[in-house]
Amino acid sequence: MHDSLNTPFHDLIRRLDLRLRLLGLVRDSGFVAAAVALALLLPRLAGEGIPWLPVLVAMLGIVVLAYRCLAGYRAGATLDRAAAAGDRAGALRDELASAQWFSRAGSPTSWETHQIARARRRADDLDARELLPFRVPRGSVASVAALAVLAVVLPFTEGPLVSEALRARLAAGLAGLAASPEAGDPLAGPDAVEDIADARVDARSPEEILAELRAGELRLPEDPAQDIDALQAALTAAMEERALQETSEEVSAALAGLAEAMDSDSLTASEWLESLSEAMRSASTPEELQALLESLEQGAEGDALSEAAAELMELMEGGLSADEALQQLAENLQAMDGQQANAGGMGEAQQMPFPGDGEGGQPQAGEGGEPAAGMPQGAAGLSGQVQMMAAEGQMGAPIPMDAGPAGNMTGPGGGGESEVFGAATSLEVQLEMEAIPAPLDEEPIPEQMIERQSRREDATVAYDSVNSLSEYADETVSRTRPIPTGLRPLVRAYFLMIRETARADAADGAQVLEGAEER
Amino acid sequence: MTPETALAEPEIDIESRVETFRDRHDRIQAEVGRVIVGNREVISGIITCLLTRGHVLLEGIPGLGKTKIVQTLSEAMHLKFNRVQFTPDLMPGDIVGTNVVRETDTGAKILDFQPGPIFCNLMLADEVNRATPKSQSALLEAMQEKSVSVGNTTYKLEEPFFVMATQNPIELEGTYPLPEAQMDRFLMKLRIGYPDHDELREIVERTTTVEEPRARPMVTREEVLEMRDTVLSVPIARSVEDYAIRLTMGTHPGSQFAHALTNRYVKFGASPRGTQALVLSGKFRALLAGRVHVAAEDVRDSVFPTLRHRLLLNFEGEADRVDTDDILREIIDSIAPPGA
Repeated sequence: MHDSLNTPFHDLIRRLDLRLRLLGLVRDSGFVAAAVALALLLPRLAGEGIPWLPVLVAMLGIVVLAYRCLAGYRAGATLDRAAAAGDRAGALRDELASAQWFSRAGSPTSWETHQIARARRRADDLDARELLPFRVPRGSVASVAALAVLAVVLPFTEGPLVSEALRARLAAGLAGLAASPEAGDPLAGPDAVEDIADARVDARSPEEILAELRAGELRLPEDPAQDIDALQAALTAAMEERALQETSEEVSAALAGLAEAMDSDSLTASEWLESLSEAMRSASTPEELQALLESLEQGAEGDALSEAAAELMELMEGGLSADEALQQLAENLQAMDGQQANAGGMGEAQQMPFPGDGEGGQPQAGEGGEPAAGMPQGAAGLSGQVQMMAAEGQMGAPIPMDAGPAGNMTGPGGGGESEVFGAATSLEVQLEMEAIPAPLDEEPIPEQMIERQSRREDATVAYDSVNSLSEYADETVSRTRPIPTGLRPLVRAYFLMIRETARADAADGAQVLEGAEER
Repeated sequence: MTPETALAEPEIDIESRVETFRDRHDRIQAEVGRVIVGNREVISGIITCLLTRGHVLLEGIPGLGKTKIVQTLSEAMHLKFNRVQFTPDLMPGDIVGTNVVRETDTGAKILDFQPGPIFCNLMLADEVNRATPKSQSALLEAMQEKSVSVGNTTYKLEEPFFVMATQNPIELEGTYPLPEAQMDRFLMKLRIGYPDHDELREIVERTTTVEEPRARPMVTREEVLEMRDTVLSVPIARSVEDYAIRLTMGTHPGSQFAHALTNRYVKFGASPRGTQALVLSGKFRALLAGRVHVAAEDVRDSVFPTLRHRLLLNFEGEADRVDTDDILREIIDSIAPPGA
């Protein structure tokens, strides 16, 4: 070792380092003692012979702790840390730590050398035993004391510390929890508990058990697992009954909607049937299916619905489940709609081209009379009105596109469908022809005039991201403008609100841009 | 040079330099205190900036003696003092100076540079946020470079060059708040508050008589420069340096040392200039305490004046009226000092 390191200052640091390591060893020994106590307690708590697995785990923990103690002793505290601990203990304001750093940094400046000299003079007056007195941590004392008490008390006890009855109840309770299918459903719990009160089961009711618990008269049953099984059975029965009632209510509501829908539009009716099938997915047992069918019959009103119900019954009697039967019925209805739409499309093909169609491809009416994707409601070419033709070549009633939902409707279909779906609806709208003014200085060419007029709607608004602007604006405003204190929450809420809106607008704008570029 | 060999000769010299430094500082502080009532922390902060080659930004409502403090300091230190009242129509030439056409004895016309008020040792930029950014930039560039350029010529400013800018937090209409990049160039931002009852009575008694007290020069310009060198000579251990770095990084949102308040309310934290300011201020405090090394507490006590103006709050922070001092307080509490 270099001579310059054999000074009282460095001796002090080394002594502080040694004491730090010893203190760490004592502290870790306390944890080891606690682990040993736990390992000794485990077999006694269980009342069994030596359970090897817990003992092995405890022994492994002891080995790890012992290794940690040894490693801490061998390499633990560094000299820097020891110096810092000395500074803290002696309120020396980093004098020892700074000197320690300057001395081992190499080539100290005159100021650093002066600081080292100061620290050495200070070290002459310091004693490592006073700075870091040997003190056993309270945790270690408590651990050793607990160990000693256990060593004295345990030989005087007989049998396991936990009674057999309590262990049996705990085991049964745990098994019931693990077996209960509703244990993980937080919403079903409160309802199920209420229904238990009405349930009639052979075993004692939960109220009786609760009353006994409150009165303190509960006797330990011979077989506690039986009570838990009975409670579980009551819970399951109540839950099934409640689920059945709820499903029936949903079916009734869906059927009422179905009756209205089938009178007006077969496509909507199929949607209602799909929703009905969704509602019935929970019913899978034969009893539930029977209850649903009865509900279907009771809720059916009108001939069309009766026919639909009869068809549904046939499908279900043919071996399909309720869900599958409803899906099949919905598909049948959609197939009928598709046939209608095809017939209507053939009729449309014979008509004049859509007067508002530009070169950019204004959207055509889609199949089944629905507007094609991207077709704006009410954007109806030159005059804002369009004449749509009915199915099977028949002239349907003109339907204004401005009418919104009416744009989804086809003309009246022919044949047997009208008997099922009722009379077709019609709107008394007259087609108005628009006169396009011809330019005076040119030869009027009808195609060009129509094309020019149709391009009027191609104007686009340049997209500009306002998100960053809004973020900049809110902070700038809040920083530079004196906002009255009373209005600050309002201003803050406003900017937070438009920030989200601006982000959404930016996203929408980007999509619009992409669409425009694709066009 | 080993510690053993280096011990003998410089020890007395360094001890005397430290004592001289403390003595001069105490004399300046006492002389300024003869004129200025209270505000010892502010005066100490201004002296810290002056002796660590920094500049100071003073914030306080009008009438609390900001101008008087700087004027008194310049008198106590025997330094040349100039004051510029910043207004919206102030031009850069009004600060740094301008070239004027002058006719020589022979009749020839030449461009002659007329130095502006920035050519001094202590400059008071009063209400700096009332001038346009163009004029502010001229001042702040001179603060950083310690020189000004007019035409094709660069003029070096005389050391010590110290700028004390003031701004008042009210009447913000029509002002140009200093950008964060320029705020960063001030070593400290100090706040002047109201005097208490006793201080107010003392102010009244001193300033309502026939003779108003004036400060006498306590140190010369050369002595001030020597004090500056002394501050910069103080060494700092790596562990304390790391502590200053951790404190600075505690203001950086998303960093490993960032406090929850930092992540929530801070948009931009302190720059490396903040760490420099922490260490320099720590060195000054160590000397005042008679130590020749920087302790962690020196750094910790420097956090508020050196970092508070370097934290840029986000919208949440502005809307919730969060004080940067509160955030810094939490950062100090959450970052352990060295050896802890």
